[in-house]
Amino acid sequence: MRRERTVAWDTIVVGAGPAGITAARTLLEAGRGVCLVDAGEQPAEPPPQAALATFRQELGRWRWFLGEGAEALKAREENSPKLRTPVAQRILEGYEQALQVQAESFRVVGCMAPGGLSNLWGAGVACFNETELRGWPVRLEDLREGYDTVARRIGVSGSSTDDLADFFGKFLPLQPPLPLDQPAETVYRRYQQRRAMVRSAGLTLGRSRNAVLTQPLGQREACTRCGFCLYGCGYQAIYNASEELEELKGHPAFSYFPGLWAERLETTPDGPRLTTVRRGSGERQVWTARAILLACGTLATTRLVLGALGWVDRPVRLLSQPAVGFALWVPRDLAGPYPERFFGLAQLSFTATSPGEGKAPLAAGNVFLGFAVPLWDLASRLPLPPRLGYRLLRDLLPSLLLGNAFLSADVTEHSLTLGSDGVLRVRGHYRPELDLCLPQVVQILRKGFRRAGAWLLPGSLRLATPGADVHYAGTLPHSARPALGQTDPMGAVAGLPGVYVVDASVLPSLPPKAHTFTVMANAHRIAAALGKQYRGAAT
Amino acid sequence: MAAAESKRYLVVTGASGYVGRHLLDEVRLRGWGVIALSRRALHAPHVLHVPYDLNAPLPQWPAAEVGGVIHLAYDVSEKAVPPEREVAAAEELAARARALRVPFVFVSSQNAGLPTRYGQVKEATERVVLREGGTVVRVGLVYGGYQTGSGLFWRLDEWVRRWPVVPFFLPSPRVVPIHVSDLARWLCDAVERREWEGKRVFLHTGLECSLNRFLWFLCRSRRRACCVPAPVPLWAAHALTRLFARVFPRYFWVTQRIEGLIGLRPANPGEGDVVQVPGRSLLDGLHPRGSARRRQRLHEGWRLLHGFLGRRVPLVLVRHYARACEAAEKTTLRPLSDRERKILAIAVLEYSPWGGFPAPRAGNVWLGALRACRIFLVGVQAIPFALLQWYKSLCGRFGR
Repeated sequence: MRRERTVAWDTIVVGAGPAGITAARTLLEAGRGVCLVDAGEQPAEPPPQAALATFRQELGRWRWFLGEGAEALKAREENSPKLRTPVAQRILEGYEQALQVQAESFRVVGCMAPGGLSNLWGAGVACFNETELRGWPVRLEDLREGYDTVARRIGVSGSSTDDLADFFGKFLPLQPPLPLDQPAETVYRRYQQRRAMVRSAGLTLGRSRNAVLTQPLGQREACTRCGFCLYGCGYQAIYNASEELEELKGHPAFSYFPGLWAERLETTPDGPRLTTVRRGSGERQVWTARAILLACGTLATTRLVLGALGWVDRPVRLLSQPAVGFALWVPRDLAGPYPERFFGLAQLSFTATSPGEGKAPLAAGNVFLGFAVPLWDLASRLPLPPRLGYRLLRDLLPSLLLGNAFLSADVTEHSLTLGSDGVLRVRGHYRPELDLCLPQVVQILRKGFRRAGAWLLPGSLRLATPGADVHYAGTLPHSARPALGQTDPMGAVAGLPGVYVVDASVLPSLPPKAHTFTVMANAHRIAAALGKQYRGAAT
Repeated sequence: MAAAESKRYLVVTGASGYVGRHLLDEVRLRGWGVIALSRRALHAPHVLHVPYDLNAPLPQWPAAEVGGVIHLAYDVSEKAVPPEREVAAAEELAARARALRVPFVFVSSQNAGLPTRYGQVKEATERVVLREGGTVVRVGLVYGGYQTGSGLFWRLDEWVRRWPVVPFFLPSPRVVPIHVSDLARWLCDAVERREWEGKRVFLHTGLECSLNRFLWFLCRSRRRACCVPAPVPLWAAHALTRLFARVFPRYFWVTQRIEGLIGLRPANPGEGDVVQVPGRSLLDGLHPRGSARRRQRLHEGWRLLHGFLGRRVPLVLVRHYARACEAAEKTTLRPLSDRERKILAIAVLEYSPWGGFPAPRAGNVWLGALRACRIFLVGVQAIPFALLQWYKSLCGRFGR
């Protein structure tokens, strides 16, 4: 039996991802003392401050891009190119074992480095609108302050006047957008020329809203379009929660404890208790606090809550969006140059809506530059011998765009069960409705992009494994009258006094758009309300 | 003999042969003992040797807890033991196993049923074993491991090492190679699980290939110099073998070997259950070691990079390719597949001074035309590949 130490705190936040950092910051601003417990130890190594096009031309750079043991080759089954990089491989390693998760037809991705999945995110920013918040006990008005505060803090760039202003949220304070790179620029220009025609096919295009700086903000520099976006950002232009964590460490009321895995949660008459295990040494430590805020990712948070509720061998609904990837060819840019500098994340965003007034989008997604993904990676995915694939891509890359699209989580039926043996079982399943919905989306994309001057390459559209979108949510949904296994609008878990959930687990629904920004705004809302409660009690 | 009472033992005939030696290694890994029935003595701590000749009656083996009997023995010289004695010996063993109520596994061959002495003896033995309730395990071309005895694989190995010419049969017989260590593992599993009792099963590693391809792989891995393929029509090979047998009846066994080799055929589902078992790739099974492996990597790197670059390859880049290959194999703990090595070559080229893309002027019409022509050429070159894929998908849809 290992020694257990007990430490008492005012508020404990578990997890240093975007939600945890947002909650911690808001609580600190409200005057509460915050203790942040996190499994991460070593932050992900940032890429060099150089242009990708010149950096990769130095001899032996394969070691940096593939990893010392060419780990990137091993990760070819991952759906997202971001997850195939050696940086991602290093920080994703060991998560499934630590969480004791068994996945069936589902890709479990989790990160134990400080900053959580913001180390790997696509930096897509979108607000949920009133239609999407239907069925939530939270109104858009409640979230608006969170959206505004978080956007000012992390820095969001994009255009506020395009056709997707309603989709992304009109009220966001935005920095100017990044310049578009050539094939994306051609498509967008053509879209603007033939806007009505493209929109009649169901496709609406606009500039992406990214958590990427185009103007300096604090210590962070503006984007230099170095092209390293897939591997992180050496200039800190892409928001990463781990960088904000460094800022918080200077706050006198903030304490940070890295390398601790939250193992068990329980409630006592004195308040909630959290047991952590130190990674490596296995030393156990018991933490008590007036309030514990869980923000360690949907899967880990749900595991802790289900364990505390004794909710064993009972499946819980898990939301995740079906994702598809595809390639677009822009023939007008066949003679385009290989750029020295480019932006590697989303350049354009789109929604695919079936014809008819006032309908919600079937899918939404982003378009990236073909250069953003390594040539060898693209060649390995072509249904051609590698030699032909290489030759084809050398000529095709200047006119190639890659896209991803996310569908609504309503067409999925994933479940999550905590077994009596302590194993978390995740089962992925697409509903038959997806077979009806997906062909419609494909048709809209094919027709819409063709009218905008880009051809959907035949055979390139692929449906990813369930869970590959890494947008997990909805296991402990907000409810106006929460039952066991649900949370109230303040994130308080029914049956566990003093335990609040601030991550994506509390989202009651998941429309087809990036949810991280909404999770951060919601975490801000809950933490701000808790801060007010504290101030009220003190008075 | 004290150890015999506390341990589980496996009776193995032909334990000093090629498969037998590898089986002993597998058995030792599983913590079992072996009662080895063979002519040649075997000295190993976990082996109890009992002298046994197929011509002699079955001897009594030491009293021990016997977990199963595996029959591998066969007179390779095909002179000392008459065919009927081979069959009778198998019958005696199967009867003894049945009396002891332990599983009996007879290792047969892909060649069983061929009109050669070997094929006929194996088929007759199979019938007897099945009648006695034993298991018949048919295996394809056993290869790899270390050399003991003079199995078919080692004859081929000797050939490619010695001669600069390899036969290229037209059409080529199909073989199902199985690595000797994989075979040993599955034989032990057959005894342990007792799933296949009274059945004839064909162990298929999913690696069916032409004999020509197998020989070519063997050349690449075993021979340091280049090898020339000599086209040999199959009908000519048959005719020459018959002629040789008539002119030199003393060398009957040579003609039998050649007939066995060119008469190889894949598993026939009508003759028993085809059991898919995981096995290693040919590249893995036949891999060379040490400096020969590095040399092969360098040669392969030069060839691949030359194909991608289309001009003289800097040697430093080839060395980087070899290092990347070795690093990747250390990570994946297995040799890279053909496709993976090509992808790695693209990656090494991409991240080097020679992989940079030229920066042409934007809007250059001639460049667009040039690129369009090159894309068209790639499309033309991809046609045979697409046809092959289409044929494979048809085969998959309608069965072979």
